[in-house]
Amino acid sequence: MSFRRKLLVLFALTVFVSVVTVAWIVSLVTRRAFERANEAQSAALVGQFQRQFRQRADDVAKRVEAIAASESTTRMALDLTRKISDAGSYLNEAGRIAESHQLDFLEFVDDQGTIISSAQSPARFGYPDTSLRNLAQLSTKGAFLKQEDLTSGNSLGLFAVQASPIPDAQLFVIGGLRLDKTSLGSLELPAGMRAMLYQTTGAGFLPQMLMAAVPLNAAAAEKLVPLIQQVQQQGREASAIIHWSANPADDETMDAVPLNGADDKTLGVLLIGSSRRSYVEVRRHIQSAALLVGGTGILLAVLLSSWAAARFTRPVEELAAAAREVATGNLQTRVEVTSGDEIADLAETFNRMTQDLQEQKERLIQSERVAAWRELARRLAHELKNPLFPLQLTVENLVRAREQSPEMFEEIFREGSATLLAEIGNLKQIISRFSEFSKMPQPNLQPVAINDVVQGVGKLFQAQLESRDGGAIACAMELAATREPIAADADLLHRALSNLVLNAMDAMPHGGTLTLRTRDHNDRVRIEIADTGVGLTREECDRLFTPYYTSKQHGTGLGLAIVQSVISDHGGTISVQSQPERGTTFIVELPRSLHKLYAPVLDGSAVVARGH
Amino acid sequence: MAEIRQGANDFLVVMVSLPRSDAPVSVREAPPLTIRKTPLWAQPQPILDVAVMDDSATPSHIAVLDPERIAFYRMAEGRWQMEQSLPVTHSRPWPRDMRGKLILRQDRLLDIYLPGVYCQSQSAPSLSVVCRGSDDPWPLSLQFPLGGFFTATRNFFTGVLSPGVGKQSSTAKFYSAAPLPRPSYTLWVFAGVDGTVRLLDGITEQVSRLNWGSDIASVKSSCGSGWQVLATRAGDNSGDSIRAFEFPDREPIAVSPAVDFSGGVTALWTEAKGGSAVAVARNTETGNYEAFRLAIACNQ
Amino acid sequence: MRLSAWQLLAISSLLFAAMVHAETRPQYGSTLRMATRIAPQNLDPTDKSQPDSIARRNLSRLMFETLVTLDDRGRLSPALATSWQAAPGNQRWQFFLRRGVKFHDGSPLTPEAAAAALRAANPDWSVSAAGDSVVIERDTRDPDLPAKLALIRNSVTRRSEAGTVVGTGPFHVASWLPGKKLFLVAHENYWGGRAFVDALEIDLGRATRDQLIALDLGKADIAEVAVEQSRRAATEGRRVASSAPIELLALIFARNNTTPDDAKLREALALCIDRKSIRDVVLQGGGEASGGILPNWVSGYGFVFPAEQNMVRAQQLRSEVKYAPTWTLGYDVDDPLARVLAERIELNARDAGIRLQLNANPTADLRLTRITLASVNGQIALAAAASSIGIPLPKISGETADDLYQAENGILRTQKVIPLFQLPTSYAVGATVKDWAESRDGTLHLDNIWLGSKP
Repeated sequence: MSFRRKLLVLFALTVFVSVVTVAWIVSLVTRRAFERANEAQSAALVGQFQRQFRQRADDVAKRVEAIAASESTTRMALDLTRKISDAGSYLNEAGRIAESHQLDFLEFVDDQGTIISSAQSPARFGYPDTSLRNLAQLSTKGAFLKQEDLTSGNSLGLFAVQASPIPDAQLFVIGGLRLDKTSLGSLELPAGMRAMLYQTTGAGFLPQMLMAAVPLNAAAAEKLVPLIQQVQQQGREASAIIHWSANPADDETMDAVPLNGADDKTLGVLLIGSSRRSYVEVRRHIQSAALLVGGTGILLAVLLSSWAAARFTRPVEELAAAAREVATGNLQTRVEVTSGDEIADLAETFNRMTQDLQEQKERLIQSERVAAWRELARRLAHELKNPLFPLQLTVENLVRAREQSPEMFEEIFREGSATLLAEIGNLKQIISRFSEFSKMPQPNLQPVAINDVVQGVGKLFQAQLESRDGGAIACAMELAATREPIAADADLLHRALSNLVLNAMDAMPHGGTLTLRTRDHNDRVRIEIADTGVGLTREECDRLFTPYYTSKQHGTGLGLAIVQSVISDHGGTISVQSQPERGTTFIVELPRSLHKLYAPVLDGSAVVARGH
Repeated sequence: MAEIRQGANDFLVVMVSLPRSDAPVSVREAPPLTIRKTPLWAQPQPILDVAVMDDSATPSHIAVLDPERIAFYRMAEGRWQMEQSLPVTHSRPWPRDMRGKLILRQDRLLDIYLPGVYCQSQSAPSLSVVCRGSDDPWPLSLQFPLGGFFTATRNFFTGVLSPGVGKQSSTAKFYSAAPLPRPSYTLWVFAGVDGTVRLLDGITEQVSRLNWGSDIASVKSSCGSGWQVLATRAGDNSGDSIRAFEFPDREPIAVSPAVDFSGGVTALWTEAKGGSAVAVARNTETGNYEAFRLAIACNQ
Repeated sequence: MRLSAWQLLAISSLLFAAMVHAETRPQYGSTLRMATRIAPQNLDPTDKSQPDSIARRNLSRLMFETLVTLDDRGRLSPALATSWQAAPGNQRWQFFLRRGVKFHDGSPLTPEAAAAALRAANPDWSVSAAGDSVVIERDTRDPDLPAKLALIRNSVTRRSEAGTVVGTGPFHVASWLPGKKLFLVAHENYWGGRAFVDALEIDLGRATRDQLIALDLGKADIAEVAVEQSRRAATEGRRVASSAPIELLALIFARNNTTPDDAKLREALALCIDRKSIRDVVLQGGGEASGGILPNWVSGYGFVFPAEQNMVRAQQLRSEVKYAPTWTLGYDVDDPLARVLAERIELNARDAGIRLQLNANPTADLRLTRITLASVNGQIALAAAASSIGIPLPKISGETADDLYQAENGILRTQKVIPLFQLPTSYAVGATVKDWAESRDGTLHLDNIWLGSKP
């Protein structure tokens, strides 16, 4: 991973972690605040219900009091007192009065608790009302909860008892309002809140005893069982979060309040639910906002980090690029210094270093050049000495022969001339090769199909390989399937590969197998020239590419140097693998360098980099 | 009052109070007249009219008209014996509260007026009654010629009079009419279907609410002004009654005590000679229809 | 001293007798407005799928007629038939039709039409037209055939071309909204005389309470009065007229008695019901406690069947039964009286240890049912009651009261029915209604009434 990327990742990560942390903290704080607000609202609603409940209780008590003081009750009481009551005339009285006073329950009972008239159960006239004891005491108590036993089932209601004000009348009025779905519906509840009433039956949980404005199905009602049972057992308020479905937005905070009767038995449980939907949505919003902010932040962070990283890393990259340039041999590369920080110091040091390197290189080149010239002079002298010595002997022979054996001078002159011509030919060849070596041109890069070049080389030497005096040489082609060209000078490559083939032929005087192989190697191509000749020792491998080094009896020793020069000019490498008596394989690796076909030619001038 | 028998020897007497009618009737302090009620006939079937065929003080020959026949009875051996019963033919159904009138004739025995039907007696070859559909006016009085058209499908007169009372040829629908002769005109009293009493003198029509019943008839007497109007009583009563009134001017004055009947009066017609009237009432206890002759007796 | 219902009835009858003739002759015209609880879906009097009631019979009698009628003393009167005779043995009867009678669609009443109507209503009769008469032949002697012909289901009807059922009665249908409103117009050519009122406007399916309110507001002339409202309606100043007890209120079991335990429980239930309290309070003194199926005024021996509560015996019988199932007690939810009665019976039963569960399910174990007296003819009435109870027609060996008693006792011994009360029908009549007449058997004679002016 590059420095810029590392820097970018580091910056982005930093921002990301910061944003996430802040968002989480905000979310946590908001959730807590919402929950506190929700609890406060529920408490307020429970308080409101209790106030409404008390108001309703007072209302019931007032209505019952009004009924007890009414004319019809007075008449009934008087009739009872005078023992002239006609039960038949009172049958529907309670129902009528209850309707006019908007009560759901109303009974007139005597002091024995015998029902004189009942609105909710008209048929119970003459029967005792066993649900209440000590009516006189209850009449002083105010409203209370009671379960009323009806033929249709038990019903919970808010009741009050009032005695008739007529002295000695012994008539009690028991009136009440039903606590049911309708009365629940009359509670003023804010949006998102609802009230339910569970009527205790003492026979376990019965879903049908749960009253709600919108009835719950049995499965949903079962979810309330633990809360209801807790309230029933403990007799005090409790609260729980009810998960109606897998969606958290459907959750509801349920506050349960026990409703106790006159004897403090829990007759019902009031359930006030407040939807957590808005809280979940707020939370989701916060999360979404956090994600949005975080995402935006991260994006900004990435962009800023990219920009910052670029700004910070550009001089470093320039330094790195300059270093790569230097590595490729371009010691003219300089890094521009524009800042005064450590990077600038580094840039200056780099410039100095490259300057030194260049000077050293120049000195090295100089010395190498001197050394090379010395070597060339030595080699030339050596090369030239060889043909010159026979030339000298031949001329001396001729002089001697002219002087000493003039009769043999003709013959000796002919022999000597031939020798002189041969040696002059050698001299010319040597000079030609030197000339050729000195005139090695720069490659003219074109797209070249390497297989074509190799095949061309093979065809060129095919006849020669087949008609060797010492034995034919088989030529095997193992060419890669690639068709992708490389940037190369076809002629120079041809010449280099031809030299290698010649060397291979020279290494197999008695015949053998010459293998020409091409391989693709990522962005390089690999050309192998393998023979099955005598092979080379390790020392010979090391010195193989030195100019004038030759293992052959004849030769200038420049061939491989030329090959190396060509390969080097193509940016490639050449190596050799060999074992004595096993053969030798020359391995040439050339880069594709297709970009060189399109990139502007750098003239080797220094690349200026700006440092900060 | 009612006596309810329970078992063999157990009786219960119950009094039920009923509102008194509030008819504003002028009464003379000492009624000078009395209505004498003489039973004529009783039968289970409705009696529309009874005509007394003889002139004796005690009727001995009567004709009784009911919706389906006319029957002649003669008193023999202290009992009424049927002489003859002749069917009254009619093609259309009779209306409810059926009414009918018998008119004794000089030239023939009698005429029968029924809603939409007129029957004439024929003596030859034997006594018979021939009926035909008719909308001829019924004679409202034999003493004062005035006819009234009777609605064939109802129980009232249409109000159209023939020939008319002076210039007045019609009045409102009425149930019955009673003429009262005046020196120079005849004052006609009509008991309207709407419960009003209308007085027509040939020029003007006076409408009064007298709380009379539906049936009125005038009778001639030797008392008072010489002619009295007999009128049934208004109000929800367990029984009906008839009283005599005179009209000194245009306001009626009761001149007799009321004579009671055991049920509602269903018919009241002046007899042929005008000196008495026939009243028919339905006995609420027995369900029988009972016919009476009503005559005015002067109180001395 | 409190008066018994009978005494009250007698007084009210007198009161109404007094109303026979008011201050004027009957006035023709006006429209009589009334309502009824029933809401029949069709007017065909021969349709047995429609529940029978006095109200339905009275409604039918306005439009349809039978060959003969039976008054409340059991006396036959001519109607569409003017006379009749029976061949010796009472198996063959001949009824001579009244002439000139037409159906409401104008078609004449012919013996063929009458015979066809009677055949349709009585598939097991052999009915034929013979001249101007209708001949009916039975397989067995049937001395009560004329009384049967007086039943409303034997009305002489025919289908008009439009498919509607037409009759010969004093009123014909002007407009008909099934279950909602019926408008009848006086038949001008009715053989018995055109009715006094021009029309009858009848609201159907109206609760008695609403009917009374309409009467008080002057929007109705006649209102049905439920038995439990009768006393109050009278004390509030309304004119209330009641018939004799003509409707049996009873508990009828769905199944026959199956086991000795079942028999004991049924007997216990019959004994535990406090009819007196129910009558005094729930029925407001109306009706009569009854242990028999036929009212006493029809049978003459109704008082023989016990109707008093015997809770001790009931509890004893209950204790002899090891396992007593909970019986479901069904009642008519549209009848407010039924609910109160059912609840009271349930309370009484509970006191005896018998558990009853109230429900409105028509398939309950036992059901609080009203059975209207089919006829003042005791045998016909008993046979119809047996059919309503769901037991086979009792074989009545003779025509005496004792024979009738044996048959009725036989029905009661099946324990399929527990008679509770005999109830009258009552009406509150507006001040403008004149000549109101209601027979003991609840038959109204609306064609005879007329409307006077407002007081």
